[in-house]
This record gives sequence, structure tokens and C-alpha cells, in this order.
Amino acid sequence: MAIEWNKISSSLCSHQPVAIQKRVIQLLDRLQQDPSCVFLYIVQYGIPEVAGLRALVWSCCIRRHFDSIPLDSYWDLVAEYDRYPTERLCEDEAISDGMDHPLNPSDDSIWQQYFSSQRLLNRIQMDTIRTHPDWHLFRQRESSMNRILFLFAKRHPQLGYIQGMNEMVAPFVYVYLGDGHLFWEEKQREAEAFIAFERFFYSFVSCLYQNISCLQDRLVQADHLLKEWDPILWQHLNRYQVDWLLFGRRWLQLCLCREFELPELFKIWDVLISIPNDSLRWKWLIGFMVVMMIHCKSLLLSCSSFQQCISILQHYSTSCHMNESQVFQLIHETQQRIQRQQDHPS
Amino acid sequence: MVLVLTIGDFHIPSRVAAVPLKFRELLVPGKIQRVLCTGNLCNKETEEFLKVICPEIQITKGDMDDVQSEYPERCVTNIGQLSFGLCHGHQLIPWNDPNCLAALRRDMGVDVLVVGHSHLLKMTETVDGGLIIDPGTATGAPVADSLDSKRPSFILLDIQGSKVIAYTYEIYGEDMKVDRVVFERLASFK
Repeated sequence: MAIEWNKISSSLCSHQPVAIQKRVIQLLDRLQQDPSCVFLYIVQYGIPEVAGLRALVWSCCIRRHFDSIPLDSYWDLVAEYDRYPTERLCEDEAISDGMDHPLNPSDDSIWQQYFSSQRLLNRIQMDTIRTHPDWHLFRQRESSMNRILFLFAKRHPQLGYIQGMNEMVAPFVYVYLGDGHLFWEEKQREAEAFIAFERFFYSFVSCLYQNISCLQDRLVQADHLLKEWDPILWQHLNRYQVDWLLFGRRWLQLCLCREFELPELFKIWDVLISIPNDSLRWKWLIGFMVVMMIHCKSLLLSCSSFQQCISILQHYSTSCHMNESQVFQLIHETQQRIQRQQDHPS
Repeated sequence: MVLVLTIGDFHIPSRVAAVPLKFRELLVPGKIQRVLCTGNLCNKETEEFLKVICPEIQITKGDMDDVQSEYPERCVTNIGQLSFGLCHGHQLIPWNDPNCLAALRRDMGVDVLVVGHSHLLKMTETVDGGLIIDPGTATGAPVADSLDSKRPSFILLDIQGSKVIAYTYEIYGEDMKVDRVVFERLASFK
């Protein structure tokens, strides 16, 4: 991904107040020179809300910190999967035993593959129609979401399309294909969104879907962490047998997509994406989840039944709604706690 | 990009018991978008069988269908950029006469005419840019004046705009043969 840093820097800084310009330049400097220290900068200051900057930072960080199977050209692949079977058949009309026809039941038949692709696309469309139903952007970009999810399912057949991926692709669609001046043209933006989504999902989150013990391990870690950081709350939840699996599964599998509104979610994902290695990223995410619970401690402690506790935790975004500055507080606190833990391993 | 099944002349249960197994295995729901049935099903179960394959179905009345059934004698529909006419064909005297069929096509004002009754699979391009398709008998039922069974067959059409790709399915003894013919130069009926 060739980047002309000076040109980008000046286009991002144009028409911005001086303070923002300073932050943009600092961030771009770190991105250029040493991407692994971008993480600490972002935890402290966040990414300035300048159109196009977040997409750039995400793309740089994701390409560096998350890996995936190689991709030559997004649009070529899309075109290939889009072709109707008759266009692929050679035009010879010789009568042969193994001629492929639309009713061919064999799995090798390109017609059979076409029909199964159509079924996959239908499943995807049923979900993308319901993704953020009141946002005009997502109605405009439904076809992009369909293409991205479809191509992901084709490239990773062992995962396929799982309901919930539509929620996870939405932030990428917003960041890359939303309004705002970007230095990539339209088609390149969608390709970048796909690359970012594919790497983020495949390299970070996919193990939770493929392996139930992977998910359970993380939840056990979260439980231990809660016991260490806030024993009173832990005791309270333990008393009512509030099982992490009942709410933590969605928190982890969707990377908190459903627990925060999009603008706040971006702040959290900014940090997650800029973390340079996998194990620290998991530690951070789990720590953040525990801090989320600590911050609605008073609400939880006032519950006197399993039902009440669970309904708060399963509807975190409404029961403990966080605005932007509160999310920043959560981020700082998570960082402090993790830092403390790393400095004084017990 | 529409898949249209043309099929007919079952004569179940009067002359034959059922659709051949090889055909039943192929005709599954979810692939075909339209069904044009020339007629002579002869019972309700066969109509249900066709409805399972695809809910969008048109059937015309054959000479052996139940007198009280409500199928029309003729039917006209549009698929892709072409107009299709459907008629069983027993109404035209002499039976299976090419000139009569060509006249019927002009009379109905359609690009493609789908007829049955002859129990013989046949596809003819007419001199005035039309196409006459006869999917034959799906079950191999014999015709009225003979006891010889015919070859079971049907035709699946792939309509792309004004191009028609016809896949013919025929059973020869124990084997099934599939063939493909492309019709490109259909002149649209003005």
C-alpha cells in the first residue's frame, strides 16, 4: 500500500484547527516510523476525528499486526464469483457424457456451486438488510456489505458466513465507505474495507467461532481478573451464579459491537487495532470487559436476583450507556490496570 | 438468467405410473424459476409435484386432463426479453403439423411456442425468427393410437435476455442423455 505521507498529511490537516493539526502530524509521524508505539499514543490521545484519518491508521496497523491468506485483487475475485455459469462454459457443442447442465446434482458441477452461492448470498442479504436499519449509510452500502461478507465466506469456507458477521462488518463499512474525503477512490475504498475486515476477523476473532474451548478459556480469564480487581463485585455475581457465558459470549464474539454505539465503539477498536501483538490484544480486551463491569458496579450491586443481574449485563448498551468521555475513562483505566499488572506480576 | 422448465404429457395414472426416477432426482426445488407445462398431467398429484419444483407454474389443458380442471386452453407469458406461448396442441388438426404450429405461433403473437401432444422431443426454428419447442413426454407414455412407449424427455430453457439455451434431457433405456443447443437469433415479435 503505497502512501505519500506528505501529501496525505497536508490534505488531512487542511481546514483543521491548529491543535488538531498537531495531533494529526504526531500520529502520522509515529505511524511512519514505529507503528508499535502508535498504541500508547492512541490510548492517551485517541485518533482525531478528521475524515479519512481513522481509515488510514486502521489500514496501516491492520496490515502490520494482523495476518491473513494473500489476496491479489478484490474486484477480480468479486467478478469471478459473480459470473453466471453459462459464461464460463466453453462454447463447444459436442455431445459428451460429462456435460454440465443446470440440474446436475454432482458437487463438482459449476451449476451446483452457483446455486449454493445464491443461497449463501440470500442468507447474507437477510442479515444486512437488518443491520443498523435506521442509518441511511448502511442502506446505501448494502451491496458493499453483501460483497464483503460473501467474499469472506468464499475465501474461508471452514468459517463460512455466521450470523453476527454483519454487525462486525458495519464499523468497517462506516470507516472506509462513509462520507468524507479520502485519498482512495471509491473501488479502492471497498477493497481496503474488505482487507481490514478479513484480517481483523480471521486473525483475531475467528478462533472463538471455531473452537468452543478458546471462548471458554477467555471467559475463565475474565472471571479470574474480575475476582482480582474487584472481589466484592465478583462475590456478588458469584452468589447469584451469573455465568459469564450468558453475556460474555456476545461481548467477545462481536468484539463489543452490540454493547456500544458506533462512535464510541470506534474509540475502543482504535486501541485494539493498534496493539501490536495478539496476546496483549486479548489481555486488553478481557481487561476492558472487566472494567466495563466495574463501572456499572453500583447498578449490579443493587440487584437482588439472577434475573436482574443478567438483564443488565445482556443489555449493556441501554442499562449502562457510556458516552465518549466515559469510554475514554474506561480505556485509560484498563491501560492503567494492565500496566500495573505487567509491572508487578503477582 | 431465468431457468424455465418445459414439460408435459405425463398421462399419470391412466397410461403410466410415475415420472421416471432419474428425472425425479434432478427436478428438485430451488433451481428452476418458471414451469411451463403443456398439459395431460391427468391427476392432481402430478400438479402438486410440479408446484413443489417451483411455485410459478403455468399449465394448459390437454385432451386427457380432467374436464372440470381449470387450466386454460392457451397461455401467454413474458420471460426475459421474450414472449412465450403455451398450448397443448391437440386442438390443431392435423395433429403435429409444422405449418399449423407455425400459424399458431403467429396467431398467439409470441417469440417461443411451447406445445406438446406429439410425445416426441423437438425444437424447431421457424423461418420468421420464432422457436417452437416440444418437450415430449416426461414419462414415456404412448400416444393415443399405439401401444409403443416413447422416450421420456423434457427441456430446460436458460433464458438470458433474448438468447435461449435449451438443455434437453432424454432417457434412452437405462441411460440419461443431456444435450445443449443455443438459439441466438430470435427476432422479437413486434
